[in-house]
Amino acid sequence: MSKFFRNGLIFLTLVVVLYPFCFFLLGNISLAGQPLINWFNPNLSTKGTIHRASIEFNEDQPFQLAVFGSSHAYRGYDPRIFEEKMDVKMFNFGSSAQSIPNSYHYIKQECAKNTYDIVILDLLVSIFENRDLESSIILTRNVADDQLARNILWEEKDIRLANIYLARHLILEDDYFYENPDYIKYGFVSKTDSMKAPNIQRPYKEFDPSERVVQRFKDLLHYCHQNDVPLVLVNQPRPVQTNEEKNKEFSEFIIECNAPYNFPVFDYSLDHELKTDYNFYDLGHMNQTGVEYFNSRLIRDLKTQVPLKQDD
Amino acid sequence: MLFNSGHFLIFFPIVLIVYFWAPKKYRWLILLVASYYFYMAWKAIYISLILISTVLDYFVGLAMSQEDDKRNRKILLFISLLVNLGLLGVFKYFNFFADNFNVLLGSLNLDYLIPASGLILPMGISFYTFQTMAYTIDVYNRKIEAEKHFGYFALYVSYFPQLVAGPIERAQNLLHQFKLEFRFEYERVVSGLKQMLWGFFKKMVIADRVAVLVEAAYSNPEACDGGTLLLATLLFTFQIYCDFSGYSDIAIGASRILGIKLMDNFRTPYLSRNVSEFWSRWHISLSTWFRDYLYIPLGGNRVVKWRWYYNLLIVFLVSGFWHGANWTFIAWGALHGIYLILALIFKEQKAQFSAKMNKWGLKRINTWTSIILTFVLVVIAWIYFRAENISDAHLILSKISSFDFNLVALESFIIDNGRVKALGILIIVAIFIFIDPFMDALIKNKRKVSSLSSYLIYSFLTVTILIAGNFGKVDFIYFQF
Repeated sequence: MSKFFRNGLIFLTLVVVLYPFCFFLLGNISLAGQPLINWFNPNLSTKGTIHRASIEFNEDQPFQLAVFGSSHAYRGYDPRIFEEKMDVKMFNFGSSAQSIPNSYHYIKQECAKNTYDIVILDLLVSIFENRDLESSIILTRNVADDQLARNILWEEKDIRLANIYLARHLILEDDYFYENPDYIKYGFVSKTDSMKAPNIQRPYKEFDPSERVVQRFKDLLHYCHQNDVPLVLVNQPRPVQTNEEKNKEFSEFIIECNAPYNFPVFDYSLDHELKTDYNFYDLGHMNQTGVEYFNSRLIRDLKTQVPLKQDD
Repeated sequence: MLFNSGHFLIFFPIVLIVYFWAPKKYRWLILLVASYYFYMAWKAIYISLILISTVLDYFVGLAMSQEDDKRNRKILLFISLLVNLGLLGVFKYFNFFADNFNVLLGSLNLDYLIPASGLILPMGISFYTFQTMAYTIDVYNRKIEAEKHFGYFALYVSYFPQLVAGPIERAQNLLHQFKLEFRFEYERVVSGLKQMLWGFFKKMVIADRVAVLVEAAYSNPEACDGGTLLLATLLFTFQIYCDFSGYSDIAIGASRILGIKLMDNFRTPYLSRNVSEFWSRWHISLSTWFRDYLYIPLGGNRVVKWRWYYNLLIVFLVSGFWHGANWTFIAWGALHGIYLILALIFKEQKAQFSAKMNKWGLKRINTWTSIILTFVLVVIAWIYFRAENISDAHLILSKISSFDFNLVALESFIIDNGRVKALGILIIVAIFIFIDPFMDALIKNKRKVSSLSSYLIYSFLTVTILIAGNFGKVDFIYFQF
């Protein structure tokens, strides 16, 4: 048995040394314009919009308003409109499929460093129900704050993120990033296309949130409450295809979770005049005309119900 | 529970610790509880099907061993086969028969539809029912004694390393091993761990990575050119091998750590010189099952020629149907049956040709020509195995065989949005083709390397899994069978 443990230890030591060594080699030898590591690891995405946005953030901070959430967030809150109609600098921290646990760590980290007048968390049914690594992979690869990347890695405890984390440190010439042609500024991405879809409601499927996500949502609310983070919960307009019953269940769930804290909740999900054919570019996301309508309405409501610190 | 899951990485060490710590007389119980837990972690209710097979075949076995009247023994055997095949029929084949019957009724303009059953296919049902049927048939034929200890028998049916995808073990190989005492032996445990690691490499680095590319082409063959479909088919050839032999390696390795030797299931099958040899090197536990319990009872080769061919065709049709309730699997089985029949018909000509080649000093070329020809035949059959339906299979085959190749389309298949992801896996597959025979010999202790080389080989395998492995929870292909 002692031989087994002794030799096992030698083997593990070899693996611990070889793993970053091989990663370093593959990460820093390029072929066909890309590091070899990208050839072998399909999850090791290059940096993208968040990386680009974080450069702008460092150059132009401070911001008074921060938005967190999924693609609905980074496509749904236009900093130009907020600047024009509310006279605030808004930064959009939204990222693809951003999960609630990741929003929790992101908000915690960001609010510990900077003070915001309003922190918007954009809510979406599917991020409470589905769990995949997309959000964690993107954030671990892109966020500027290394502590935040470690927190996400620890939250997920998944070896795939260990590779992404290693990429942050071991790929030396890591300047390339994917440039989204629809990117506007401060994390906001805009679409102008519209869609054609039959006005048929999606079939009802019971709202079935993951326990871990619900717990992290409650942790997030608790953290914001304890630390005086001016959180605002927003459910943005949805197309008519959205199932009303499920949406109602989701809204009730949010109100129930928020009851002990009483953060402002703005639910526009089915309370709007937007048309699927003109104001949405797919069955989830608004296009620019939809965003303009929604942002104007949200600004009006924020002005009346959530006073900014600068107004005090 | 999947071998390639975090759940198994916690479960297996716990089982090992408890197993080696426990007194010998309780070890069967530990393995039995572990096996039931292993299965129930997937869908608890379906353990009831394993229990039905276990209880029935235990009592049928006992009754047959005490029964001298052959007619009564035959009735008992019939009951066992009826229930086991009945379970398979209901859970695996009902919808297939219903669909085809509905098509038939439709063609007769009869306005009646048999509704689909809506039952989920129980994981590994084809494996454990075949294993328990082998037991009852052997007891019926007086090849083995019926097992009197219910616990040992229950463990034989449900032993977790091979429960859901084989190897399909025979009672005479497995049952007696549960009664032996195995200590923690360094050499055996390390050898088992090495085989498991090689299995994980095949599954996570090759099979699961290749699967994405294969799916992209096979889910929409109309949109693909012949070159893309050819590449996808070649990749599937290695996907299915790495997926299934990877599972077998993990199962055999895990069992070896426990001290229990499972039969070999693969022996570098793509190096076979003819289709008959292929079947002695591919899924060996299933092909020997069909040989012993179907082919030989049908008369095997000790019959007139046409009957021999008929026997071969029947065995491969049934083997195809065993793999799945779809015409594609039946076509795959039929193709292999036809290959074997043609090989028998042209056996003499082939022998004469080989003799001439050898005489001209071209033995090596002859061998490699045979290997490549066999490989091509096997690859053609895989098209039917993988395609969604028969018409897709025909389309894929016709696009490939008509050389409907488009380099631009092929390039876009390999280079994804300007990234060279697919090239990486192609390089890994190419390296795998060369190292597989070496690794196969190494893990089966047919080849030795120095201690330092061994450390380097297995730590590089581990690092490759960490860097290039797919850690998503991807099912093994053979679970569905």
